[in-house]
Amino acid sequence: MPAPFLFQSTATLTRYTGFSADSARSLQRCLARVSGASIYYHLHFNIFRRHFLTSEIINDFARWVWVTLGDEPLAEQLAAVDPFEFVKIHDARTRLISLIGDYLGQADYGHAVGARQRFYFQEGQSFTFPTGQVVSSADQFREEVRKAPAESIFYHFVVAPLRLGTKDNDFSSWLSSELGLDKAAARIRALSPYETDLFKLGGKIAELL
Amino acid sequence: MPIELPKKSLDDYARFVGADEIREIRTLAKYLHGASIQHINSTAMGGGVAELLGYLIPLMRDLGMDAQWDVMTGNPEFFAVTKSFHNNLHGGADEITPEMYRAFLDTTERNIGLLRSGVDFEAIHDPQPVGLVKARGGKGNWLWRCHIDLSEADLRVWGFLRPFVDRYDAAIFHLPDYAKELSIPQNVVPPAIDPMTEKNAEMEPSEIRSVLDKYQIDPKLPIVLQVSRFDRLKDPVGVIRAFKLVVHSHPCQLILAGGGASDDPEGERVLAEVREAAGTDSRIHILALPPNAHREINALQRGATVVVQKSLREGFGLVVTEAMWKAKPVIGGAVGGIRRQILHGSTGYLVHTVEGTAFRIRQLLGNPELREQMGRNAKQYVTENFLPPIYLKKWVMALLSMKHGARESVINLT
Repeated sequence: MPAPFLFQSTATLTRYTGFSADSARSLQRCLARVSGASIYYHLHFNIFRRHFLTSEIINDFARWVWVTLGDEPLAEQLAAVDPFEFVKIHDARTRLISLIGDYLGQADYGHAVGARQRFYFQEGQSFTFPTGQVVSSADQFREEVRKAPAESIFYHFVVAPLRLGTKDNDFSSWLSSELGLDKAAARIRALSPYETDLFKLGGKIAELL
Repeated sequence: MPIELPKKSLDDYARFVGADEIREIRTLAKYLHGASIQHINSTAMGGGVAELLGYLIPLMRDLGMDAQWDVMTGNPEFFAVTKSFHNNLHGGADEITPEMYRAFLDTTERNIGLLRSGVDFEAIHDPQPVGLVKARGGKGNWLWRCHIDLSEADLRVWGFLRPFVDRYDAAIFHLPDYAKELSIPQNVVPPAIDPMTEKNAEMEPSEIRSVLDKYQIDPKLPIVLQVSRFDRLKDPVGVIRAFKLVVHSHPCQLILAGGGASDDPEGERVLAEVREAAGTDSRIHILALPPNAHREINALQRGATVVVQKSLREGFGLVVTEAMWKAKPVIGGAVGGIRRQILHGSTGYLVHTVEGTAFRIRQLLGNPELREQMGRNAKQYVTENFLPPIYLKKWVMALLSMKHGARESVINLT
């Protein structure tokens, strides 16, 4: 008998970290000091807040540099950072710091904005809880994943790779290890929440099964 | 003084945010079932705080919590002191004397009897009752909900209040921009608008039309609207200048609608400046409306083609939220909460100058499809972020956070 899959959901409370930046240089300095949870929040949570923009979604750092600092070349480079590339926040932190460093070179000073335009580093405190959906077969999974709330898809699909420390998500991992559905697992693994509205991803996953 | 409130059901909001969201909130709130919470603030009537508590508390009760609301009492001297504190916390420079600190502490002392014994959570709103924390006992978690911007707070007043704030378990601010460096977790919970109030409820086209008729506004000519009190920080004269840059190439009309200025000498002066800037242009409608003209404002927002909020400084800017809820693209000054609401290029535009405002008005007037798309995005953004169920959900999380460990990054509820 395969072990059942228990759908979990997540809700996130946002909090201010005490760090804020007024220039690309200070953004870089803060990136070296803020918590991993803060970097994670600014890289990933826009997928929730702006899910209906799908392909236009960019991380919070890129958006601030673009809209507020007005530094489009740097914003373009930050926007190209794929959050899914990293299974460790440390790696994302290193990439962001070096990217800004390379762009700024050795300059000590760049354009700075006023106090009311700063980038305020926030972080999320996550609450995870069972949705009550439990499945043991592919048919049941297909039915329930369609109904699963976006927060649950986020938890199993977006959060999981970091939690597991691999580039896998909970769905593919379970389908492969418990049901032996390696091909379906691979098709789901290839999905990107940056190409499909997160709120429609459950339906897409069900179709691929 | 306990405040009585009518019942509300969270399920009534399912038609706005969806049944899934309501189910999520109820699931999360199971972990607080039966918990008692006492909210304390300084007024039961008027102002945004009373409005928020008016729906938050009945919704908490609907989730199975024992939620109560009490209002502290004080004499006129105390409220004069807290008014000066308020001014200085916003960057003002009122004179603060030792007697004022004494009056604040005396009134705090007299209100300690208001605290209900044995409650699980004390939620204290704003600076007036902040000192009640001195009476905290061993049981219960204390939360300070700050509704004002402390970023430019006068150090004397903040230095006096901060030791009280540090005795709480956590704080909540509207925006991270408003927070201070504190030793306690600072949660960020933006305010919300209620789609079931007169300000925001659906409206028949005939009612919108009759309001436009009442103010002799041509329903066939595109409408550019700014709703705000007549205050220089809302830059109404700047909006008129932007309108004048646009109107020769894109026929339209401008409505500047705001609260009456009869009790506010500064407002009267600004209103006079606005009238002078408008001159005899019949396409500019300046409407000084009474404070309770909620349905009329609602109708004007729904009748508008493009909404502007060209503030030079702003709090959260719920008037922007209201316009977005009505599926209007908003052109807003890139300040305060406007920056958090307008997703530049997706739900509207952030602007810095009169010329930038004019450019974006022209762009939106000339692109009906763009307007509609941005309006849809704007409404969806409000639906998912700034309606009462979302506000309630964040409160539930803030309480769970204190119950289970405010410093943990992940809390597993089983």
